[in-house]
Amino acid sequence: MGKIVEIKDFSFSYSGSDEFALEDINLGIEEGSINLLIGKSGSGKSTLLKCLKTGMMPAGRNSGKILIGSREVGEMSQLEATKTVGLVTQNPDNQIVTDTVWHELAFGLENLGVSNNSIRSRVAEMAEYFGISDWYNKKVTSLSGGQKQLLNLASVMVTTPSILLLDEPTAQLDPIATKRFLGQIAAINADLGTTIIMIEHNLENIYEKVDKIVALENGKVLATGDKSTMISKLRELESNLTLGLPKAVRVYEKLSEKTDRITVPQVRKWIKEYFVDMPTNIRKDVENYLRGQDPNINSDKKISPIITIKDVSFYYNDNIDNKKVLNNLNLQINEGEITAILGGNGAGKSTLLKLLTNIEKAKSGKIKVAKNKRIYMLPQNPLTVFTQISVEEELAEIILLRSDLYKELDLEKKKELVYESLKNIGLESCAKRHPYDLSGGEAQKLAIAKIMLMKPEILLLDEPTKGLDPFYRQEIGDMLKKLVDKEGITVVVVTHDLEWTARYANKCALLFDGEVASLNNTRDFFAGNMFFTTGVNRVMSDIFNNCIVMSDVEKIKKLSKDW
Amino acid sequence: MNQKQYEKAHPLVLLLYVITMLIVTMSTINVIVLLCSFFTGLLVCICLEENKKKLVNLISLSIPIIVFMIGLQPLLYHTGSKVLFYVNESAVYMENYLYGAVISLMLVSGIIWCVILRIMIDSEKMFYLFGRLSPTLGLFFTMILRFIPLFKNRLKQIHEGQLAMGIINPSAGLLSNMKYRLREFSILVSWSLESSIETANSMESRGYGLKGRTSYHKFTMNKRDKIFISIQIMILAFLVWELVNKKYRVYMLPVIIMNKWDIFNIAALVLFICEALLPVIIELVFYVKKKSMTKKES
Repeated sequence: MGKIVEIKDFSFSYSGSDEFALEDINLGIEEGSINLLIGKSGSGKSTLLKCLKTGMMPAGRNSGKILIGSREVGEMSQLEATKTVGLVTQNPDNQIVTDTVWHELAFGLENLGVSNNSIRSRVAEMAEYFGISDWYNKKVTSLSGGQKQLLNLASVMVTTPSILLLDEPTAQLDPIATKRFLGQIAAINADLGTTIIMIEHNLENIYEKVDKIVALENGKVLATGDKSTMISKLRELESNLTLGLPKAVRVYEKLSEKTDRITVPQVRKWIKEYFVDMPTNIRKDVENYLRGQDPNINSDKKISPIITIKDVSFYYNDNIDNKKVLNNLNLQINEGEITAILGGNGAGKSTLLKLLTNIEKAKSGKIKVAKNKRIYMLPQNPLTVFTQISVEEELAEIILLRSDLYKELDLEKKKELVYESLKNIGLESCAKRHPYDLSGGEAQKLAIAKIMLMKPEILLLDEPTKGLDPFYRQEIGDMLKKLVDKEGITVVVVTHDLEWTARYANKCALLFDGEVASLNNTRDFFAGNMFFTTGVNRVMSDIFNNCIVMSDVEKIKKLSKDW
Repeated sequence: MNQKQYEKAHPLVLLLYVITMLIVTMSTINVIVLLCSFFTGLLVCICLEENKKKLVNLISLSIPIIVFMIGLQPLLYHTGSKVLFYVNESAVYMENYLYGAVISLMLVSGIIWCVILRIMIDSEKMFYLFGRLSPTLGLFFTMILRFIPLFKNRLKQIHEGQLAMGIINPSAGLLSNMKYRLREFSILVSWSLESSIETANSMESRGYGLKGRTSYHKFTMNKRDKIFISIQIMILAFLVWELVNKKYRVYMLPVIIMNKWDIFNIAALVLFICEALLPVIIELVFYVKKKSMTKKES
């Protein structure tokens, strides 16, 4: 196969900045392959992707060459670029231009000046292929996030580009929609031979189909490799980018220190045949040891309920058939814990948060919150929270707004407070920046810092890790853990992110069909589940009970040296 | 919404239909023509509108118009032949009230036909008709339809967010509430400006701005549509000829004089009624056909 994209000594720096955003990139992309760009935010992934599309290159200076086919990117006309390179980005809503699905599909072809009849047949073909003929006539506002993103993909593919660029396309989607979307990407590659270059954090569903992985760090190529060699290369470089790799790969590498198996069945088979060569009683000991080590189960912290929800039912008034979103829901949330509320789309998770913050009133039942507790919720999208022109002013605003909380402080003290909380979240260097210029993870941290200045005693978070890379997820988790340990606040998190929950939550509640289907401490919750569980547990479930996060695997590895 | 049979016709057919009705209704004060227009319009409206609540709203809206128009006329005109009573020694004539009644009938019929226009020609058909005039205008129109619900949704998100963060006090007074609303609006503006960059990128990367943009639509003109259009044009021409020749002319003030009706007048009126009732007739035929089909099956 020939190289369809060739990047030769490419460097780029944003205008007004002396630092290289990309430095000496040399890269070849084979035709018809699936390529993955990984790296922390700020490593230049998105910049590199944008530089591959004519007209998308950000303002700045560049040197070197990027060739697509045999043409240089900068010299391609818009017509050529549209026909050869397609781009799907992170936010499903922002990419949609028109009001109906069929028109959105036709938009690209209209621009190319295709006649009505040809558009009709092409659009029909596209709708069939992507399985969107059922909602072909719908308004885009009535679609779910996953459907919108699929529509974006289809309306880019309608002009049959030979290269498809994807910039974190599943960041805003729930796990099921993510799976569907990534499956579609793999199908496009397999059916049409489209070359795919993607930035993606949810690797579990696509990793085994990937041909080439490129790790970027600080604007340079750190390593390139295929799916089985990547982890050892990263390990050699002592890079913590391994954090983002699929759980099966990481579990296998941890236990065997080899890298030739990558899928869940392969790894499971290996563990069963070679690894668990031990008497049952020892295995039971290991399992009990894992459970015994869990501070959630064996803490002697006094538990007292701070929120009690009793027989709460709720339905939205504009709902025609009065379908109950919540149906006789009972839940108790304990003080000083992180409680995770899990569940599929439309299970009523966000509605529950709205009831807790009095945005909506329960139709029946009682919600009892311990007296005089300040209870605040952080909305899902941090952009809805920012009002000021700089990061420090965002924080100062709260201090001025809530003068009742900061009565005794003089101006100097208030300033100190702002800088202290900036330091806590590690954003001192961005104090003068506009909040919109922060990356997703930084914005989320700022939003949490902002709401923390309101001194909540109960903090509700709606999907705080949505759209973040593994590093920021970890950081947000650590930050919350610290808040709970230090200041004793109670945190309720609504989330789809099971890996994150397994690591940081004390308790998990699964919402299903308007009620709490199961409620347990985190380890028992995940250990008891077969499907709705973490990647590690899926690999280990019936081989090792109670093994749900990577640190458990590490413990097993340590123990295994002894027998 | 469930589309009725006639609504499935080509947008041009529908547009021509409503325009014909509006032209005739708005250009005569002949009470017979207006009554025909009013009742047929009402019938079509009942047939098309599924939400009967809206019909009640329509009727409750027209009653004040009628009362107002009838009450207003005697204040404006002081001529007539039949004196009803005297107010402050000036006469109030019956013809004034009748004139008011006819004018209000014309207005209400006009409103009904506009309601029918709204039902028949939804945003998609509107976009098609606009798109024919200019592709840019059409795109502009569909983008507005896209962004209004999006912004509404965003504003709701922002409002709920501010409530949940405890920044807004829901029991605060009107003035401070205004302040918060302004704040929410400013968040909406910056958020939307930020996201519009991405929208613009998405448009450009899909080739927006290339020369020779076409405007896609889903409508095809079949034989039935063509027949409808040619019949409708003929009827419209006939009606316009009648109107231009002042065949339906009526003097209301000071005395009521109606032109003598000839065969053409009657023929034109019958054609008008037939065309006006077309949606109802087609729906009925469809209904009967469906009934007999299910009967055959069982």
